[in-house]
Amino acid sequence: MENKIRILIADDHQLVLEGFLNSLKEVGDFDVVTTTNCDAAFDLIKTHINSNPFQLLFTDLSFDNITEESDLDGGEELIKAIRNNEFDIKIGVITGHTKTNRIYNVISNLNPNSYLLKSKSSATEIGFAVQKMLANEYYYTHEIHQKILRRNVVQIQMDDVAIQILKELPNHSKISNLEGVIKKNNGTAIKLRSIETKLANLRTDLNANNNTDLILKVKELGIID
Amino acid sequence: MKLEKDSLIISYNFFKMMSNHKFNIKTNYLFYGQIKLLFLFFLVSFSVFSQEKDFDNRIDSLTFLLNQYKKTKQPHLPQKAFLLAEKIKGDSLLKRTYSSFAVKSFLNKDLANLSLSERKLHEFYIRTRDSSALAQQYYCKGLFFKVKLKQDSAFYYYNKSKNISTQLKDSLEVTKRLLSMAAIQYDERDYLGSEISIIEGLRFVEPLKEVFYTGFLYERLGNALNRSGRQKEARKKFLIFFELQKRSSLEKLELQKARGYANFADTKIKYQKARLYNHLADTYTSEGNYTRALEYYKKSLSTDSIMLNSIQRYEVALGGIAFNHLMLGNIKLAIKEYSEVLKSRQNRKYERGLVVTHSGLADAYTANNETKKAIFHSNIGLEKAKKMQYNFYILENLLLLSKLEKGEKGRLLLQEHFILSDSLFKRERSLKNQFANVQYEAEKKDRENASLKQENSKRELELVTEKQHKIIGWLIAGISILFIGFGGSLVLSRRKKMLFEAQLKQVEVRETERQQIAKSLHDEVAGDIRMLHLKLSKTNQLEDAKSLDIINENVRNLSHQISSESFNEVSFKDQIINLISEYFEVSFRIKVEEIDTIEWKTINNSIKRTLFLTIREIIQNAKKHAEASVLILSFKETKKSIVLIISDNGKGFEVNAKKNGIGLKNLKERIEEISGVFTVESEIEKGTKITIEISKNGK
Repeated sequence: MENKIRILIADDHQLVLEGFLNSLKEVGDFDVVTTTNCDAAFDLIKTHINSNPFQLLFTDLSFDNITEESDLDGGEELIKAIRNNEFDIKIGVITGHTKTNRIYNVISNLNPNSYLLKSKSSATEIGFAVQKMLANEYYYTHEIHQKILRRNVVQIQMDDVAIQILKELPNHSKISNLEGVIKKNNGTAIKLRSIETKLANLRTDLNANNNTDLILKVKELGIID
Repeated sequence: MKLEKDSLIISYNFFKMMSNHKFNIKTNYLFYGQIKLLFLFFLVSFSVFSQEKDFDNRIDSLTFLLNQYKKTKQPHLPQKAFLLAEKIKGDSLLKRTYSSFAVKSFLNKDLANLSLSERKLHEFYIRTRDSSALAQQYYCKGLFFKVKLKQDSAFYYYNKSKNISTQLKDSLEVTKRLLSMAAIQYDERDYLGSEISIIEGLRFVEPLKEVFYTGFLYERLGNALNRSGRQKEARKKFLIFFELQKRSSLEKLELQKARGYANFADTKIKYQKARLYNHLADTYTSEGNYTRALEYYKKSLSTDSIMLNSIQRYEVALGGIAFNHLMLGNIKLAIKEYSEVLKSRQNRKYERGLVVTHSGLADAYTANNETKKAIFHSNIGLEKAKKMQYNFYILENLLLLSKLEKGEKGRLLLQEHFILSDSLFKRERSLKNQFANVQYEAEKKDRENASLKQENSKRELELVTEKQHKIIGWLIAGISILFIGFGGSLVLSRRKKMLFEAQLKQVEVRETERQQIAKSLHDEVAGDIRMLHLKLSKTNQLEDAKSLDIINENVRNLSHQISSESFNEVSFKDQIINLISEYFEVSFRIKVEEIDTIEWKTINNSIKRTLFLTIREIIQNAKKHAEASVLILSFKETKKSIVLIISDNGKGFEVNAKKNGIGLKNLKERIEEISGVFTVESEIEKGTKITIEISKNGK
């Protein structure tokens, strides 16, 4: 038992917990503990952090059983508490929330290692997510991924400088040629370094391997014509 | 006897003054004519050249008439000239014509025409109300009395004329009048009065830098000083007079040269020098320094061709020599010289001079013990003096005759002398008083005027202060009103702000309610449905369970829709991006413009929430109903409010149609809840534009 990966699952629905347990059993041999309560989840992690700590936590975001006495009134609070205590534990979110706002907030503020959707997840996906998490990588389920991408697209679209760079990029053989071409709203030229940073961010945001890929994706997504 | 010279001088002065007046008038005519000519030339075309010429002719004929009248003294000439001038219709020309003819009438002793001029001036004054004409009219009246030898009346009218000119600030006219007045006072032996008038005249003429009349004032002053025993001062004044005369002559010379006249003025200067010598000699005579006086008279007499060109001066100088010779006991020479002067004066019919010379001769013959000749000349002197009321010589001759005539005749003459002397003395005194009175009255009036003016200005000042007080009062009132208004508006705006805040709070309360409903929907209803679903699936009623799933999904969506987001953690911009991402598709592109121009952190959460919900609703509408492919959110921040314009390229709708449903109505209500303005513009097949303006702080 000592060498088994310890996984804690927190969800207010017993049915989900059971389903999750079954799925995990399908993909590997894990030491799984479940709880329906955020406070309890936090206590479990805390009490075991020095002896036999949990490597992974899967938690829902909203808990129906929150009462006035609860210290942590949801998954976000739980994750925040863990982050604040700097417990060494990989966190995955498994939830029904698909609203971009919630997703964005959770991902950008809490930076979970995975984001899964109850309605879409299969045992295989959960197994894949666990592997990624243990390797300190990230895994967002496809739908979440799409949402994040779409959000990036929207954001890029609003960014005049980004649009300029994306439009000008195919016209120049070298990135350094862009210097002096790209300008801010107030007319001042943007430095090459900033342009490169921006391009790098754009590639990340749109999952592009290189600039050519980026331009293709941008066109595909309709960010530029 | 020693008065011979100054009487001559007086009359000469008068003549000189008048003739100069005439000269001025003449040059004025010329000047006037030129200006008028030029003016007309520019104004009227060549076709009216004849008219122009006619005008010029008339001016010329006026000048001609004036000269003619001066020479021939024909009494119908002024009338003719007036008729002509009246035809030309130039008011100032008319006034000048009347005045100049009045002066000529005076010199010609033409009383009828003098009163005609006076009447004309009066009519002119009545018509134009030109006060300077009134001054001229009074002057005419003064001249009229002067001719009639009524010195006091003449003085009175001169003074009146002077006062008007003073009010008109016509200093030159004032000076001229004062000069005439000083002459009268001098004639009536009121030397002090004369001096005072002259000093006043000098005060007026000084700023004008005029030399001609100033010169005469100094001459008159010299005479007055000489008579009142201040010979040294008198000599100084005479020197000034000469300098001024010289300057005047030189000026005239310049003028004449400029106009191309023959230069005759420079020769005049030497005669003026002769005049100066006469004056200086006179002062020495007065001092009893007869030899010195003789020197000067001889200097004067040695001026070449003085007899020909300046007969008066010649006579004065020769008469002076005779008198001084007499005084020095050189009787024979005196008689010879007096006789020469007598001849000259008889030729000229210079009555006043004759009185003096006859009296002088009588003295000389008396001294020579030629009683008969003395009585003869004394009698002529007396007769002529009586005719012209030359009182001094009446007395002199009466006294002389009383000594020369023996017995009863002599006694009677002496009596006559005493009676006259007495009455003259009285008259002199009363006249002096009168002059003083006339001037005093005028001064009193001036003072009264001044005090009245002072009072007026005082009253005005009072009025002004009163006005100022009033203004200050109004200002205070205005300021207080403003203050009250300001306070009122402050209270109002604060109230408004409070109301606004209350509204925002309301919105928040409503929001909490919404969230609670959402929560209970999610927790309770959805929970119950889930339980039901669980039961159904357990009992294998899968069909029902499926439909229950749909219900469950709907409830969840509903609860999501109702619930809003937490705005504290995430920036509004991110919220909006998140929101847009939710609906963004390649076929439904949402663009956001200028969202960064707004400092969202400073904006009240309720406003942000309302905006967020509104935007969400509008995006949903545009996607669902309008079938738009592009939607643009354009933000703008003004000093007081946030403006959001949302436009799409959808199919649009009839804004006024009732079926637009509760969606739009709710949006409007939601915006209005926070004192915002919500306007919709839509055009079928073109798109919809929604403008939302929300005030940042409720004002």
